[in-house]
Amino acid sequence: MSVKARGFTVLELVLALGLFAVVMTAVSRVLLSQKRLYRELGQRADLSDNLRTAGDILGAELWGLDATDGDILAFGPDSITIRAQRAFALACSVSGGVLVLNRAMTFGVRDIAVGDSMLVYADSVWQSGVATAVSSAACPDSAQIPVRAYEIVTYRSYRASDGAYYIGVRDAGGLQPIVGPLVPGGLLFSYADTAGAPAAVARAIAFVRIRIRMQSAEPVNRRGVTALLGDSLSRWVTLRNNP
Amino acid sequence: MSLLTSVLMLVVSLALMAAGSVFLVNETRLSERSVSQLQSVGAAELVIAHALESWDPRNARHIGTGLYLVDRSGLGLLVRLKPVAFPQAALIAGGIVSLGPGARVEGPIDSSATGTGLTGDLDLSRVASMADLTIPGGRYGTLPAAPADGVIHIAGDAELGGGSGSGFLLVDGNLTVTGPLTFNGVVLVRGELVVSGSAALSTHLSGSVVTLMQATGDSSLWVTYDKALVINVLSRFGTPERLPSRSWTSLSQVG
Repeated sequence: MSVKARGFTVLELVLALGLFAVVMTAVSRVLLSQKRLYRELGQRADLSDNLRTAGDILGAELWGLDATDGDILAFGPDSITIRAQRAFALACSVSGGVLVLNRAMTFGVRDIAVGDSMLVYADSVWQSGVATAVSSAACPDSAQIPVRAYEIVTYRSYRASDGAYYIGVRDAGGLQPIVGPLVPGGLLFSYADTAGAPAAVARAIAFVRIRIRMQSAEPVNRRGVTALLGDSLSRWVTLRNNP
Repeated sequence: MSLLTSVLMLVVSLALMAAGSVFLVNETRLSERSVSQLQSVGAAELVIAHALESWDPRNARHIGTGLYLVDRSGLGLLVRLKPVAFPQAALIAGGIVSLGPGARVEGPIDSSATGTGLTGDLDLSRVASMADLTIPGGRYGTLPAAPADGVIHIAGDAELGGGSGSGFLLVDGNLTVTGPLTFNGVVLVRGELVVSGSAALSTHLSGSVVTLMQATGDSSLWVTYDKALVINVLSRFGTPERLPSRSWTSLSQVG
């Protein structure tokens, strides 16, 4: 009587192990490349977000300017100093230099503060002043007067202590980073008048072109080469409060 | 299907998924940037132009004489109304003005006026389109109630037995007043105006009264010219224009 052999031969086991090794190698390479891809996409997404944020911030600051009325105090290829609006409000009354504002009708990035330049629309013109004190008072919702509050700020690129370049804003509180990192020289402004020609004086500026070149915060590896990712944004901003 | 074939299909699938995700992310990023640039350059101008073209003061916040704040999706636009040129008289008629004994008209009377001497540069069709209350012609015991300082438009000949109101009363046909009517603002009659009653039940019209045809009034008629009232009533019919400087603002709430 013959007995049928059970189990695998050595050759079958070697072949199976070999095939398993090949499959695992292929899978690990795929997983590794996926991990690199995920990291790169994360860096790209951050870079894209930073660019968009920088464009939105600078755009929002610049498009509310009235250059013909002196809102651009200094301008150059890598920096711009402006009278930036911080609040818009409706005043219930203007009497003896005291403005009573409607709190529910105050808009902007912050409340009006001491030291802000003020413009009050009275007698069909914007009249200027400075906020010397701020307090609370009752304000009936009656006929109202438009009021704008401004502060002077400078936007430029600067090198931080970590060696990277950032877009920064300088106001009364000093220089603060906004967004980055930039490539060196990665913030450029150019200025045009209503005809599209380069503007020679601040009051002639009708359009501002912002060019931002940024890089990723961390390097990524692509085909064995490790480098920072780069991207850029170019935006024309129309100064909408020009007459 | 062999194991090797399965492994190969798995690898190919993963490669396709990776390539697809890179493509989608890049496309999305490009689309977002294009939209962002478009918004920054043109969207606000379009909103401003549309706000002026489709101007209706009822959709804006009145913040002063002839001054409005339009809020469109967080965009604040200060709109100034170019004032309406309007004749400065208590009673203006395109035909003859016939006043009986005892009729009182406090202010200038312009009879047989024509063109801008009648209604200035006021667009009557625009006044009608902005009516707060439009009623057909007919006989009314009292002037139908309407919002204060609003526009009442009577589309035809009308007879009023009295009542009170304020704002702008526009009558497309003839208007006959038979009882004590008190109205503060502008009364504009495209046809003939007849006021009859008794001195004890006088009709008192403050502001300005205009009829494109003739006007007839007996002792019950009492018209008082009020320039400030006329300017205030007509202020909403001016031509909208953005302030010459600093008309635009963002209306995001202080955070």
